[in-house]
Amino acid sequence: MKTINYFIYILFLLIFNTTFGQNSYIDEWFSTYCEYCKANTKTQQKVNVTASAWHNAHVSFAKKDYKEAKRYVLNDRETNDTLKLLLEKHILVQLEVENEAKNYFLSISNTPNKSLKQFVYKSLGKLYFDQQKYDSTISYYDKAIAIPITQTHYFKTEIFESEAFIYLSKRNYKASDSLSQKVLQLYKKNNDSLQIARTYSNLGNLYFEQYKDNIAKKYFDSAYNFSKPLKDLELKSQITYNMYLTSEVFKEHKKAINYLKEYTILKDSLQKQNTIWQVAKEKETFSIAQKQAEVDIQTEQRNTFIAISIAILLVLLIVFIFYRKLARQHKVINQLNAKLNETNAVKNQLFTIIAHDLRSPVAQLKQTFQLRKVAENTTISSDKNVYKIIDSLSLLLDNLLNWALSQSDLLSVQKDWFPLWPILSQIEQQYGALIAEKNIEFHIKVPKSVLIFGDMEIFKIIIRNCLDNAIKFTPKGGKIVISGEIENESFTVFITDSGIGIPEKVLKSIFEIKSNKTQKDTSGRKSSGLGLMLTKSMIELNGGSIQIKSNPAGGTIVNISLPYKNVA
Amino acid sequence: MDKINILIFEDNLEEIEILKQALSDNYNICGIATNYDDGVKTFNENLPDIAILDIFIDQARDGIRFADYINHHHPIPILFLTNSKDKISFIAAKKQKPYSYLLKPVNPFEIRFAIELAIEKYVDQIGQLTTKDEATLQIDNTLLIKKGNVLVKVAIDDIYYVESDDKYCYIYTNDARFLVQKSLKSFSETLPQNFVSIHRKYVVNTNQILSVHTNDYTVILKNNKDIPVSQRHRKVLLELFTIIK
Repeated sequence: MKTINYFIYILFLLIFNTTFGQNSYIDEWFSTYCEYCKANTKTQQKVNVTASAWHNAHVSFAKKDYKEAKRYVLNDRETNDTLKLLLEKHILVQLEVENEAKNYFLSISNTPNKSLKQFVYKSLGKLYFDQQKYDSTISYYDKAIAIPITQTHYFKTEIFESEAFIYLSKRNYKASDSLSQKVLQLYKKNNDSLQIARTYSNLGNLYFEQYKDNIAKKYFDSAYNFSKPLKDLELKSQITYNMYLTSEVFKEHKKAINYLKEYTILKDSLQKQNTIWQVAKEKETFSIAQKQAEVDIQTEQRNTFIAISIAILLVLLIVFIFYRKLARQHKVINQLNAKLNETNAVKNQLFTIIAHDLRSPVAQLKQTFQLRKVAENTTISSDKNVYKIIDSLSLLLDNLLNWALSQSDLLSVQKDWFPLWPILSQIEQQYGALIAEKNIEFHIKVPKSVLIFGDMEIFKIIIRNCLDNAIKFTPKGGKIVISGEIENESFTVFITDSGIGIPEKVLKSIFEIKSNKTQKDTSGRKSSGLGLMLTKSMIELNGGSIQIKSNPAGGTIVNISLPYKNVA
Repeated sequence: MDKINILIFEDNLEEIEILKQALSDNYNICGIATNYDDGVKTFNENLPDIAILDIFIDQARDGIRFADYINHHHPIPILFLTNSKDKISFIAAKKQKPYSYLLKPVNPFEIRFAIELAIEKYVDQIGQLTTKDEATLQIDNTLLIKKGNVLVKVAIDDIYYVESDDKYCYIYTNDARFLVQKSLKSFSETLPQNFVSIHRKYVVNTNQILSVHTNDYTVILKNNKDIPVSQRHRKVLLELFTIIK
């Protein structure tokens, strides 16, 4: 029997705890300070009004969403600090950080505000109750009740029920009974069948504990009757189980079996309900997850779309900027090009004019003197000097012009076959006077039948320059020979002189213009090297090659190689 | 035997004077034109053997234009005369391929060479005149013969006979004799059919035969020169005889 009672006692405890876990009184109290709740009929829904942070805070608290509640409290700018602190501390209580809350409650328990004082005492009592410090609970609850202001239904029922439980555990059955009766009256006044049924059940337990089985049975019956229309399966199953136990005690086995059956059915239903509820919950979780996944995908797609759009826009922007920059550069380049073309045209025109107009008078001068020489057969020495000066002026001018023309790609190169020997003998004739004056022994040892491929005038310039150099650097009474040799498909012209030769050092860089490598000729005049540099570039234009070597017998050998064939 | 006829197209009087002096000894200047229309007229009246054209006449490239006219009406060798070798001067001349040019200043030695080269190029036998002291070049019915510094032209029909002298041969006209650096065999190959070989050493122009003597086997030409007929060629002589008859 004792074991059974103990079992019931545990059941009883379970009921108590679930009832008080709801915080009805605390929720109610916080809502009394809510402007939104006062203006509207009490709503348990959060509202989307920025001003009603406090409302959302206490609603979230009532719904046990403590994180949200805390957030709303922190965002609240209107409610006074004490209220906010109280709510915060109650959140702490719910999160089982009780000491800090307790300290705060104690610190403000001396407040002259009676409503606040009542709330704090009640909160402290509840705290101690949860910690099973029942003496402190009773003391604070008594203090709370002693405050002479209105006491709400929740306030009273919660305190009385807690005290009834405490007195029961202390086996002060009389006090417990009187408090339970008070609670019963209050619930009856409120027509709360569920609580009435529960209180009857509690009373039944109270008398069952005292072995007053008849009174207990009476209360259990009342509880059973009140529980019948209810839907709270758990309560119903407990009450039915109590009915089964009492029937057993009274040896009413048939009834007991029926109650047990009913209890089993209720228990099954409860389990079923729980299962259904759990399944529904899982379904919901699943569908939420699915929906979340869908939303995630959509969000992802949207994000991807946005990202791509931004990227495209950015690329377009960059392209546009670059295009504008490029267009601007292009414009500048075009302007510069136009300017350059203009300048180039002017330059070409200038060269053409110089080539014509500068060359003409010198050419005419030369022609005039030639004709005079032929006509008058003049042998006056001053005239000889004039020829020499005109010849060297003409060569220098031609060199300069050809160099300038070739450098600006304006030199006309017209390649064809031409006879070598007549060209050489023409040049010999031109330099005849100079050669004779220096008493130089001069020979052309080239087969007459050789034809050379290239531009004839350019070739003349090459030979003229080479011969001019050879004469310059060959002392009086020296020897100059122009000879030739067939090498594969090219013909090499050798211009060999017995002159002063060229130092090895100078030979290395002989085709470059450098002021420091000027060499003095036999008459002490300086040579710039323009002729040689020109010779080199002219040879290249003609598709041949040139080499300058020291003659082992003294002097210099110039080799010029060009394509050749024999005249038919 | 005539000198080569040259047409000069040049507007600068001093240049004309220089050219005249350089050419007049060895060539016959058949006309001097100073503008395009004048040039065309002179060309058609005189039909020169060669034309020396200044590229720029009155700042325009009328020399090129005139060359174009010549090439389309009565092609002859053309020698352009120019002051410089810049491309701008030669761009238009390139159309007149093949062409020769002479860069000023001119001297008699160079101009003779340039004329010979122009003729050689014209018949595409570069080197035939310029590389030899005695040479001959056939243009249509005319034979150009180089004799030292002089270039003369002989109508092929005016040749009486050609005499072989080892690797050379002599060309005889009514009043002159020319040495040619060619064997009789290779030279007679280019001659027309009325030139007949009657001896190892002689080729005669049948048009210039006065009489044929079969008794002593000689041929008398119109200039009373008698040429022997060798035994091997007597058959040919008989054929000739029938032709003349």
